[in-house]
Amino acid sequence: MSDAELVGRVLNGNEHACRFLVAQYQKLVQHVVGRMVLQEEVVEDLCQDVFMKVFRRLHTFRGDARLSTWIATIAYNTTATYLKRNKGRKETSLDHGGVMALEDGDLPACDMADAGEVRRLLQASIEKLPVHYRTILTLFYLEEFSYREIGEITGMPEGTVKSYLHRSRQLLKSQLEKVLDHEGRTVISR
Amino acid sequence: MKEEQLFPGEPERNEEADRLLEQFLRSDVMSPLSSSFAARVGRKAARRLVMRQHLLEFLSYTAAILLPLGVLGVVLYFSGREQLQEWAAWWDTARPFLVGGGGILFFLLVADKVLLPWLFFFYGSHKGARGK
Repeated sequence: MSDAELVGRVLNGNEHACRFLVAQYQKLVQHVVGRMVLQEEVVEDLCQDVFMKVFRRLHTFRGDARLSTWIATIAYNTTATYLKRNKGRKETSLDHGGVMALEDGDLPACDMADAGEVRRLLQASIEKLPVHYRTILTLFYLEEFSYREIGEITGMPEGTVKSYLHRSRQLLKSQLEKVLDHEGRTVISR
Repeated sequence: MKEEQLFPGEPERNEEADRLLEQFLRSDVMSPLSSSFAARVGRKAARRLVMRQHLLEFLSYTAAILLPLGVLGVVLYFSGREQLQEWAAWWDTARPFLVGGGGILFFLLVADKVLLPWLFFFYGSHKGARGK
């Protein structure tokens, strides 16, 4: 089913089409919201808000971009608004303070026994990154959006998207290399 | 074997870090939303869309009825007071029928399609929320 066909059916109030749209894009919305907010207990409510906004504004969708890009934009903006309203919380900061924390912070002293530990460390490192970095990483690697599409979603210039992506990747890689230096040869040989 | 290859070489370790990072970034590590999420949100959205459609229909019908009546009223007002008085006398006689007809029309266009579904919808949501 094409985007236009799906939108047409949804706007006619077809419940199956509405469910299909949610099922089709719930992962995308969850990825954007989940990476920006990091609090599992609010993710589902925010995802619901995003979809209700999508349905409310669907009549304005002109088909200039892919429906996924359009929905991701709404998810990004809705979550950004939520974060601005909840600025006090450490993990919901929209500023770039997290970069410094990641650069200066020591790695958690854990026994790097297996790949699961590496994943946990990378997850912890991602969570220390600023929201923009995390979002861009998710949109690029998990959702496979292009630089241009990420720019459309986040409202950032394409050059900024590229530079954030490069920088966030470098930060994560440097964290990973520290681990590999320390005990990595054992880890990656498994 | 891999351990021996990686030990001396910086480039190999670099490649391995790249590979691990790429693998991690492309994997979905989030716990999924509840299994009923799509059904719940889809049902809610469909109801709202249908109600919005009914409300739009109602507004269109109301405009279609009230606009000509308004125009007629203005024309009569300016065309002469005598005619207006004639119409006022007619209105006095026909008022019960017109009010009754208006009531039925209101029920068909608003109460039946907008108010009742709205009440059922909110009662349903409230019941659903309590049942959680």
